Amino acid sequence: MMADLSRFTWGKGRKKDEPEKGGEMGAGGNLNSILEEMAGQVDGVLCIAVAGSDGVAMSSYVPSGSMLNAELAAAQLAAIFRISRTSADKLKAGDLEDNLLTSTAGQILIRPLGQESYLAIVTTKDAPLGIVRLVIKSYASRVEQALGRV
Amino acid sequence: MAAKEDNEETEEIEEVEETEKRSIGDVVKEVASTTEGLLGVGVMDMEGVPVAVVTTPGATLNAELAAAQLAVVVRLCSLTADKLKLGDFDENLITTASKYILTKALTPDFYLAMILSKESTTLGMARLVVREHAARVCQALPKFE
Repeated sequence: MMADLSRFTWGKGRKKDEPEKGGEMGAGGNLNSILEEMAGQVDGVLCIAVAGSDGVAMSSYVPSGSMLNAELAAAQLAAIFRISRTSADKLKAGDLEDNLLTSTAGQILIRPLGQESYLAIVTTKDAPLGIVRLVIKSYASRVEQALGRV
Repeated sequence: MAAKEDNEETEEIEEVEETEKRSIGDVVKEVASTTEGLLGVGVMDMEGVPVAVVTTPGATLNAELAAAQLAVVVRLCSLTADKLKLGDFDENLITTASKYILTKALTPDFYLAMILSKESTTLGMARLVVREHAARVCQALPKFE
């Protein structure tokens, strides 16, 4: 009897062999397609990134038309992620839930994924904050799941 | 005699200015007394030194620590907004399990920090309160020429 090794050959092999399952399973497994789907949920997205607290992006999505440098964003937002976590710690405020930065031209929402990575959305100033928060909340667990698989 | 009169005149002018322009301490106190769920509010300078701080009795907040730590946050946020070409930094909100920690840039030298209990206020209210008070606090800020 052959052991089921399919879960170890996630990615290329699975996609080639079973393209019909791609829509359902691939979306859960492929980080990029999740981020792209996320971007489709909100107007005014400039960049979505999943990165480690060291500032190295695991995956990022920049819609066409946005001039944002995803590498720079991932690195810079990692610094904010780390400082807001230490601030919450030092001020004895409990675990960090999210960090929202607002500027004159944009908004950045960062949400931790475990201890060592984060999910961030950079949007224009007029993007509806309620929807941005809803989207990041509902996709966080999917992204986290996908992170375990990539 | 004439010099003495001059002195009196300038003193009078200063008094008039003081009654028109309220001190930063008073404004911060008023903000504290009118904000629900507030644990602490303060105006700090970018070097991390508190200028005027009010903490709610019972809230074990270390104002010096908060001022120092949040100054780093504000500086980093300004730098980030700058580098990502997102305009000027406006405000930053850290949401934790039990608190909202809000920082808002007032001038290049000062920022407003507010710590609220999540139990007794909402995110929308916290954002509104900060915006509402920022202008008044800004007016009361000491100005150096």
